[in-house]
Amino acid sequence: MKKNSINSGLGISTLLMIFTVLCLTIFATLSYLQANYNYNQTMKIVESTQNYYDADYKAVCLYRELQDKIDADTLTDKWLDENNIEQSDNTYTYDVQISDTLKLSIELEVNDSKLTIITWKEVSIIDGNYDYQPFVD
Amino acid sequence: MKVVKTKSYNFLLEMLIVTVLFTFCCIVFVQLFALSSKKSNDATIYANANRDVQYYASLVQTNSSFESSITKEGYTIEIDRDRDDYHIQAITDDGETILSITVGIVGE
Repeated sequence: MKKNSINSGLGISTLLMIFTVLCLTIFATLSYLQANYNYNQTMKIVESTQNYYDADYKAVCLYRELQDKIDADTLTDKWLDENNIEQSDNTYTYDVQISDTLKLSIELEVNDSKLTIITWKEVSIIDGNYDYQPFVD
Repeated sequence: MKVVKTKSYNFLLEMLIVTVLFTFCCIVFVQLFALSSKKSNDATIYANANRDVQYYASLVQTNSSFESSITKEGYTIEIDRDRDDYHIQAITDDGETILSITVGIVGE
């Protein structure tokens, strides 16, 4: 009776083969997930670089425009308001947004109708802790 | 006679299962390894291009009149000048633009 029954057809070598192949597939999956994570992180860094230089160029254009207006003596309060530039005495300050969390903060000083850069730095927009959670009042 | 038939049936069944599983898993893991290798290679190229673009951007800001095309492994950096602006591009060998920035020189 026993000899005539059909067994599952799986020997020890088959089981070993299945185990080996499954292990390789799991390693390949883990390798792919790691590579994909690295790729996404790199893309985020590239994107942040792009955003920074876009903002930097906007700030440079605004600087040039301001210098031109000072040279031509055509600087008006309306133009300063339109471009969100704050003036106090001989200092001009303005911000250019880089991303949701960062901005480029610029402070310029006028000496003999010539603009001088006092501050040109990247600052954080949000107030919060390192987990991007805002501080609770 | 019946025992011999059953044995050969079992053997064929085992061979079939192993062949199908082995082929399927081989295709899957070869594809996954190939994909991860490509992703990893792309990530390296992008990271290097990003670093080089930042380096050349700082270079043109401090040392103007710099115009060139630099070929690196997997990508090319192109720097073009337009008056006081420098256009820096990182392009892969496939023609894909990784980064394209414009650096303006101030205070000249």
